[in-house]
Amino acid sequence: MTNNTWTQPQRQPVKALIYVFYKTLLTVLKVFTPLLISLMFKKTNDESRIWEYTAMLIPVLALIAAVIRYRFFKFYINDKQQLVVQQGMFNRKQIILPLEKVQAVNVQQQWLHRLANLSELTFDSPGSTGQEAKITLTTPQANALKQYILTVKNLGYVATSETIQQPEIKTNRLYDLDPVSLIKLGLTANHIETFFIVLAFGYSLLQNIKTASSDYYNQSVDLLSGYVVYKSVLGVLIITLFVIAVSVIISFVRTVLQYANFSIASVGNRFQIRTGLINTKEVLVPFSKVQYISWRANWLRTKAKLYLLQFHSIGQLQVKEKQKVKVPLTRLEYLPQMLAYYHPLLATDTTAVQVHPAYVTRKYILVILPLLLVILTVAYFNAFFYWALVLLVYNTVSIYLFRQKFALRFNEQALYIQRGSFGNDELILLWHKIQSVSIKQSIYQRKNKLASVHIHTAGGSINIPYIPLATANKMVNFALYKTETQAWQ
Amino acid sequence: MPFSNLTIDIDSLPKQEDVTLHPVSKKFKAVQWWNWSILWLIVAALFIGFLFLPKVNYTNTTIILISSALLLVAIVHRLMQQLSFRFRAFALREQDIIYQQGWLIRKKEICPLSRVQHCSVNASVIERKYGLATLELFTAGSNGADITIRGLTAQQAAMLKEVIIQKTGNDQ
Repeated sequence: MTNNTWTQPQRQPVKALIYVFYKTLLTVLKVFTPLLISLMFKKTNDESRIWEYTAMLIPVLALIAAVIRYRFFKFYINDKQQLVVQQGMFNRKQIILPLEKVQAVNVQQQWLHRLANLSELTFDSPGSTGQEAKITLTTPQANALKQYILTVKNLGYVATSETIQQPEIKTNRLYDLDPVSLIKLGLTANHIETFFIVLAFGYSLLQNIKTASSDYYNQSVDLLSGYVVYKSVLGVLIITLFVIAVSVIISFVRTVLQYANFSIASVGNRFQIRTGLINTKEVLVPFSKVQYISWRANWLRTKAKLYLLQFHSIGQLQVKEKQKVKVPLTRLEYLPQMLAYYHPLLATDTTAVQVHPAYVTRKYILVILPLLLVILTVAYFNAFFYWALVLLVYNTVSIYLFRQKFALRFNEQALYIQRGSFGNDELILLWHKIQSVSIKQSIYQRKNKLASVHIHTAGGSINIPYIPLATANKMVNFALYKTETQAWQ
Repeated sequence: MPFSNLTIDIDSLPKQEDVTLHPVSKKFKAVQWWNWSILWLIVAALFIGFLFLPKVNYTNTTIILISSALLLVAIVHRLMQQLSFRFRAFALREQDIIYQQGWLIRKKEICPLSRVQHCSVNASVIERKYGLATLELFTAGSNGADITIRGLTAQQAAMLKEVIIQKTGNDQ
């Protein structure tokens, strides 16, 4: 592909229309799901027939919308070396992304992309413009555009496609995720989170059905909830076990799909991460763009010694949590390799700065107590909300454990925090990556000479709650000294 | 001691806690008063308008209860504005800018000048009336990393902006 191909305003390949249609359909379906559910449970009469016909129109509307979106989507690279993306028929929108600001080019393939040999390009840049500019191309085109952009930026990029060869860049495969670890990772996923999502989803579904048809509801659902749930302990047990089983299966499948075929390599001056079974992703993380590194494990994973590591780099702030790429560490021995280009782990045999015990009591008084009152009030009117008490107990214990585990250590170069409640959550930050700091004190903290420190970096913020004011001041003074004597990029 | 492994003597570093902060302009009190009045006039107007909606049929007791609750919130809001005013202060050091605000929760933000990506001076109609301006400093960090300094006189804001531009220009 020659360079000047990209300088002409052009549409995405016709094949991309499939994906545009799929995305439009998903959006339309999301909007109309409550309507469809209520239609399903409505008694059939002439009026609802009209609704059924309307429902059948949805895919047609989505198709038209997709064609319009496709027709009015154009992109090119202008002579100022900016990527320009134009879209919209009525509300014309133009995204201009200077190539010099692009920190990384990400190639993603969802299952539909793979079927049609397409790839979606997104860009990491400071601010949100890069993530907004999404371009779907055929895979060779996507690789060519990525190659072109990275060449323009002169990032010392190595090609993924076999046609382009740059042998001078050293590729060092760090490790692949083996199937046993993948299964372990799936089994130890955050089932509790999924449990509450399934519970909330089930409840909202019940409510939807209830409002859609009181007749059906009375016959089936009321019988189920009224008779089985409230009158029989066995019933409660069965339903709980069912929800737990569903949650475990969902989180297992989700994790396995996400981390199958995972591999990480150091390529030139960056990490190359590939992951995903159905939706594949390839992300390049330049070492110099990493602001801080964190790794965490939930309670189950601490037992299985499995960690998920995350490189917090520039341009990742706007990325949704579930889209962030994490590196599964099957052994802590892999950690030094991940930190090799940043800063080695700090020794833990020195005395650490800890969170003051007042943190726990203040959190209980200011957060847990008001929440308890709210839950009890709501549950008085709707017994279902007694479930929320489980969450509250969980939070109460979490707060206590958080203060117990929190340990902050630092040396001249870096800051190392160990925290977590049931699980472990650790991070390492080089002082000079800091953008700004703030010290917060409530009236209580002022009286007791305590303070909370917030450290802002270009990869996210770090909070250090309830430490002695003297320590906070010293730490901030040192952070300022380091940031003011060293550049961050 | 947590700091024992440091070779740099932290106590000899410049102390941000010892810096004398300059309070913002007294005229900012008037701006706050205007902002408060406009906000609560709008709330009151919306509430009254809501009462006249055809389907709304509240008893006098309910109306009195809601109005007193709104009034209480408005008074607390005003009180907080007044109490927090004397803590609103800033300082410019050679390498960084410090801004403090808040009474209930006092927050001191410190931004090294070398991390400022760009800065802007804004003034609302009310601020212009009193010759005041707001200075905004943007860094590459998350939203919380940006600093907005209110209550500066227009001259102060312009001067600070000039210093910051010079400083960041020199650093690049």
